[in-house]
Amino acid sequence: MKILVCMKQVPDTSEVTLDPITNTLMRKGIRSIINPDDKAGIESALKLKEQLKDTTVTVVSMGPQQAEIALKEALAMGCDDAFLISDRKFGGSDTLATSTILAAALKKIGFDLIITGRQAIDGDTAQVGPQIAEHLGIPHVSYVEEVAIDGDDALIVLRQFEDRYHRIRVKYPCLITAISGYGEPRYLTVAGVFEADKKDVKHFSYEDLKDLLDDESIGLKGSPTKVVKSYIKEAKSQGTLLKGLSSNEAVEAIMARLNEGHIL
Amino acid sequence: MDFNLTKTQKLLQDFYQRFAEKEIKPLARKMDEEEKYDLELLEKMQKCGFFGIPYSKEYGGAGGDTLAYVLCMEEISKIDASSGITISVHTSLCCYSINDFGNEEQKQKFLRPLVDGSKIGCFSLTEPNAGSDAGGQQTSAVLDGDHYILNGSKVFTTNSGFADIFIIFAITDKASGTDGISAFIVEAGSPGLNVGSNMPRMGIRGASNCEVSIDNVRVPKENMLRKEGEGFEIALKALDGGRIGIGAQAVGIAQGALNEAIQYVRERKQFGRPISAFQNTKFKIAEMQTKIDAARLMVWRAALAKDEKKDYSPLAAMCKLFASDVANDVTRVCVQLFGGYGYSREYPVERMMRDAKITEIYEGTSEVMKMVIAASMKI
Amino acid sequence: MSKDIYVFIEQRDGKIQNVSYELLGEASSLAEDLRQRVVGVLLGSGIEDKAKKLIMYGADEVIFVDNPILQEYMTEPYAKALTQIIRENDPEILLIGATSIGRDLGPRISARIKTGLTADCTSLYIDPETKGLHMTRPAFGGNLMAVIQCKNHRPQMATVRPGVMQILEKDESRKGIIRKVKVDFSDIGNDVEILEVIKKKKKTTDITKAKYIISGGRGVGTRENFEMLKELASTLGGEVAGSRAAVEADWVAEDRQVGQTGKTVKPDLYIACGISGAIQHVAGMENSGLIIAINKNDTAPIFDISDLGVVGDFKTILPQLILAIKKAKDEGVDYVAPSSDKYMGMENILFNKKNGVAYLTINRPRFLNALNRKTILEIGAVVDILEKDESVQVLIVRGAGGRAFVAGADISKMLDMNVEEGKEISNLAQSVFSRLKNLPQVVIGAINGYALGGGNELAMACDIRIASSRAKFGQPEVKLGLIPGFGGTQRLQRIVGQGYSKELIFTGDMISAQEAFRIGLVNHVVAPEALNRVVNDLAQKIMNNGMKAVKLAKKSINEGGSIDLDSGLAIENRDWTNCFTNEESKEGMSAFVEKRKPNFKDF
Repeated sequence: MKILVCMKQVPDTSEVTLDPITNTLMRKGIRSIINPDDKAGIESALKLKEQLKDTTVTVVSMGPQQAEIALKEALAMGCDDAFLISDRKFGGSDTLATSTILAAALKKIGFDLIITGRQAIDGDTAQVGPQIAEHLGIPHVSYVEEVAIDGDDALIVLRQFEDRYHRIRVKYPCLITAISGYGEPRYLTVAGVFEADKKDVKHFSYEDLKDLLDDESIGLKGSPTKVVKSYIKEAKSQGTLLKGLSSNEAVEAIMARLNEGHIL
Repeated sequence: MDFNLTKTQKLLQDFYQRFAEKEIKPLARKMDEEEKYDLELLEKMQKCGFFGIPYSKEYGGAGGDTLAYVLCMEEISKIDASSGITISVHTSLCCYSINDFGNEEQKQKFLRPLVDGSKIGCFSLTEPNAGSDAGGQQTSAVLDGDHYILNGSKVFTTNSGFADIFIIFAITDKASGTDGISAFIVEAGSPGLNVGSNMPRMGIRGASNCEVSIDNVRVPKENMLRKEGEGFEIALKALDGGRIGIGAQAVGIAQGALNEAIQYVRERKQFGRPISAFQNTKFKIAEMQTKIDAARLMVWRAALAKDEKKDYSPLAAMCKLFASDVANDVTRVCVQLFGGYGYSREYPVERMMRDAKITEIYEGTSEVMKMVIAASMKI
Repeated sequence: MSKDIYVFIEQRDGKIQNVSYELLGEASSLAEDLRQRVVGVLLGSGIEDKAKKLIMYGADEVIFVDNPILQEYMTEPYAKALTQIIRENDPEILLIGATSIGRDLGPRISARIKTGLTADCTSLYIDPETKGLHMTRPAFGGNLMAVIQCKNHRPQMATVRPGVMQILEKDESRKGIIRKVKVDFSDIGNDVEILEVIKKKKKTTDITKAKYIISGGRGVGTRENFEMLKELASTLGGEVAGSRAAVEADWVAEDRQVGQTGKTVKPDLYIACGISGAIQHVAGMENSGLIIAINKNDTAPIFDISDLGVVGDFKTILPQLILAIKKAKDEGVDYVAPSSDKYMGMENILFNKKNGVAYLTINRPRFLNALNRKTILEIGAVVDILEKDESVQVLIVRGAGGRAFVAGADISKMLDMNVEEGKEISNLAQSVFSRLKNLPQVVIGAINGYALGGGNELAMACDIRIASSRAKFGQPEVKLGLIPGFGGTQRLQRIVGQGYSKELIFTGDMISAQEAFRIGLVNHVVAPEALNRVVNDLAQKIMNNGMKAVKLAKKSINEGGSIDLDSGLAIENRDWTNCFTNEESKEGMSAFVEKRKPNFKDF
């Protein structure tokens, strides 16, 4: 089986802080990581590879050249192949254009199963996976926690909702989107890193994909949504900070607020 | 000449760092206070390949080099020096002795499980009456048919509490002095090999460090490394390399303490502003980072020399001498920057200050380092 | 031409999900701005009878597809049905709840229709010039807000975060069209098959619905300490929650995690114990009503966003707090049950007071709080009380429900009035509003929605006006052949000047809160969810001062407003002198000299 996993290199948003003076994001020095949901996708793919003979796992990422190190990390986890899709012409793509480009690349590489993360922590849109599936005309199941093989032609997956699960049988070719937090993705191994060192990340540019792409549907031109502006959330008006109170005084202060707020 | 890490080295460094922050950080204080290493953590590190970094794939190692190993030592020691020494003793003393001095059979039987992450090794050299003067060994080995019978006792054997394989040094020929010392591979569980209780210590309290009593332990002849009388050379060579790891550990302790301090001085406000705003703080931090960087470059230099098969012995001694001094200096200043909180166990810098001290002592004291360096200069 | 706002109605087991009602409410407000209709699209099996309820909550039309294949959510049948309805009707806007269903269906549809989709929006807004939809969403882990537009593609699609938009008051009299649509599902294959539906156990409470949340972080230290938080939560009738650190330490269940990777909550009360306030935690709770933080570290970032921060150990504070709350509840001290909010048989307004602040709430949300005779009389009755009530220092005037402050006078009641009756109602309202204006207390208008006609006139009778960004202002009387009659022609020009006053009254145009701010009609514009808090904070800030002085200052300003400068200065001189007759000024000035905080409480 040929499994393709889409992944994205993202800034570790849990490390993002606001500059207290300028109230802007301090992006400097923030670590780049493999998006956690994507990492869960890689883990699922590697588990399937362990269970199923003649299975290869290929990671695909669209992003700048720096994303190569994230792909190397995926190779070090045990993936067989890596592709980086990068071109100036792809810049400014929204989720729809991004999914169009990725779909073209995935088609070119060929697949039985595509796994993507549910969403990226820098954008949180959860759109690219289902959109890729639509472009490729294959079914998708999103919010998947567990994947198991069922016979020669299908998977059984556990699909999470807020209030329930669906156990779903889905036939190949298909796309699933994986959620992190259910079973830790494996660590790299030191040996894996040295193995990955020997493998090359393959590159796809516009030229490689143009036979599958319509210029009107990529980049800024192919993006129906535009960011009009972005801003840091307004800081709340300063509250009261009480220091050096006895616990009695503290309780009194809290009770006063609870009364004021009609909570009591 | 290039001071930059390659992409692969960066990826490794990032991996060690993340592992240490996620897996070790939550346990470091507990292991220190309970004076007990977490065996689940040990297993996780084995799985990730931390116990076979510079050894060839042929024997199940990770296929890396000394630099890849010192990067690991620094990143792990930044968070927890006890974890650092656990890896170090296994890798650069125990595995090294078998890898560089063992025969093919010994490598297949003993090195493979050590570097592929299934077994842990330790190194029993120091005795109650033989510290810096390692030649003053009293443990004896007497040939009896196909076996040697070992008797004696060892102290300060790191990892001994959970090690599967011991390298034990013993005298086979009392008359020949250091040339009468031999090295044996001894498996844990051998009758008569008894591991005592953990030695209470000032620092690296999470590591296992026990007395080992050797009471008529029968060791098959084929478990001797090299020949009779070659043990002392094996020990010295192993310690030479080990010092690079200790240097890296010292750099890690220092950088870890400084990182904690930097975070603290940014957040802590006194006299109406963060203490990072005071010039005294800025100067202290600048000095410390400069010293740490110098120490790190010395460690890397020694590691590269070892990989390039050059004479690294004095370089290793220099990097350990300097880095261990920096670690003690930096951790002490960091505790001071924290003030009262630095002295409290709520913050890790007091632990780091306690941990730093041992780097001036083990695998050769600073004084021994100076002897090695001076000797290499033919003085 | 694209038209109308479509809302995908999410049902599970035939039960309409709350988020759909919220979206109908938001769609109603967008539809008003576009002068279009709200259409609900309901897909399911055996759900025909649910359509009527959607109309009561704001839909003008409900299109439904009833088919057994739609019983449980599956991407393809739902996508097929919704796509068909979009293609047949060409909506201007399509709103979908950002649930695990909506976020699956939305992208699939957008790729099929080839239009833009903005995920997880927290605010929607029609640009008055282009009439395009502006969609605001958090990005970069909640650190950044991005405003997104979809200019050239229709429908403009958005998934909207649950719990953010306001549900309209149920109106059983609303009329609308219900239309059944047939969709041919015969080509849906068996590529995807649900083998089993496993319901999660209901035991886990949904913390997003909790009114009060007691939350703990790494600083809680142990599982035993967490029990204290649980006890406080049960004493208050709330729920416990935790930061990621607390969840990772296994002190609290994963579904109670608050923050970027957990749930977003906005309870009335959020008490954070031992939570440092990392930005990704704050992202999940910063819109809570009252935020109280207890932390040992006085530099903890949680204090930057809390209304009340206490530097201290929750382990000693919580047990006492629990006792205090139990005592307060047992004795009924200061405890006002929701039903007792109605005051002295009043029907159309709610009145209550607490610690020197009184709240007057116009409570006819179904009629957008329109003023009828009875309501005006009841406001008058409150004014009567307040004129004599020295325990109240600040009065806050507000409207019930999410949409209106007061949308105007009740026109349907005026239709049959004769000249005499017309004169009488104007006289009545003018005198009540004047007396409100001249109350000894400071009167703050919290304007949460429409303030039109009589509503704007009521707002102008307040001393200070604070508006939510949703508020809209106007004097539309000329559109009905009337002129403002409750003070509008006089008070408006005194606030914004004659020029703008004339434009507003002559055109009858409605202006946004931002514009009202620009012309000085309101003092501040704040986020809707922040309105109550800002107004309360303002009241508290004023009450920290010498209230005798504040009242004298109000008197002096009010009297001087309509006379020449010299006479005004004479009034100021009179009231300034007056200050020296009371102890309050002595306390204030001596505190200043002694470099301490004044204690005005006793005066």
